[in-house]
Amino acid sequence: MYRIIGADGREYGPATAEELRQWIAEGRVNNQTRIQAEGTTDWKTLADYPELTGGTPPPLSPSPARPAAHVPNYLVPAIFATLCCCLPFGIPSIVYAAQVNGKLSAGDIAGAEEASRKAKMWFWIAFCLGLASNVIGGIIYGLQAAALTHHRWQ
Amino acid sequence: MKAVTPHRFVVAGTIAAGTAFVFAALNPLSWRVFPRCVLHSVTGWYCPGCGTTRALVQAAHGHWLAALRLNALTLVALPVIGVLWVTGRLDRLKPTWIWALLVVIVAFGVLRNLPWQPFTLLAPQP
Repeated sequence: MYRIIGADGREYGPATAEELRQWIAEGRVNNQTRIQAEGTTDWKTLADYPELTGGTPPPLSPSPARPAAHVPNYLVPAIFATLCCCLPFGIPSIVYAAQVNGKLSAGDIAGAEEASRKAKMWFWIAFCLGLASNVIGGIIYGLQAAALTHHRWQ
Repeated sequence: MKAVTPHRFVVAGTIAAGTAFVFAALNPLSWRVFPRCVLHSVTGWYCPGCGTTRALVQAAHGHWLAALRLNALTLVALPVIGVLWVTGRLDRLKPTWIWALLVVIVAFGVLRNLPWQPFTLLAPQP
């Protein structure tokens, strides 16, 4: 397993050798990327890890690797909102979460960020409506219970 | 690509341990402090998440069969989703799987409201 410093300065990983080879192919990792093997403390470059390059050093990239895309898909909040009785508005949140992952894997970062924003928006709509309906429902239930108790006492 | 997320272990572990502890120690079934589902109160329908709280209480007491009969979907899905989230796989899940999850949730919600056997087994058992 390896960790890397992306071009955005953030740390990514731990990733398997397989994933690292994928990142090299995508241009996210190049000769300038600093890489740390798990269990070591040194940050090295690809040249020091022949197991990642198949023995041959990768071609020198003319530009630094572009920032690794990390667009939150809000899938966990979306599922939470859907299952906690805010069903109708949780569903679009899950739909947009699926679009985030779909557009990310297609390389459409801008589209993924747009879908991410919508997933977040629908989660908050579902959450607030669910909360409001439960509070109102709780008050009505409480009033009914109080009225019933009062009635019995009469 | 996944960012380093050691805090997810802490968050998931705290939620799981906290829920198990509170539900096992306090038996909220007898407390009536938990909100009643408004959808169920108004329409009488069972939503896909209906029975989750009661299922978790039963599970915390080791009554797995009773827990499954209250809400089989969330009892199975919660640990799976938790593990996928902690390991970062949820962030890169193929859209097909997310669509499948959505279909399962909606189908579960529809089927458990059908008044015939065997679908009635999916409805929360009192």
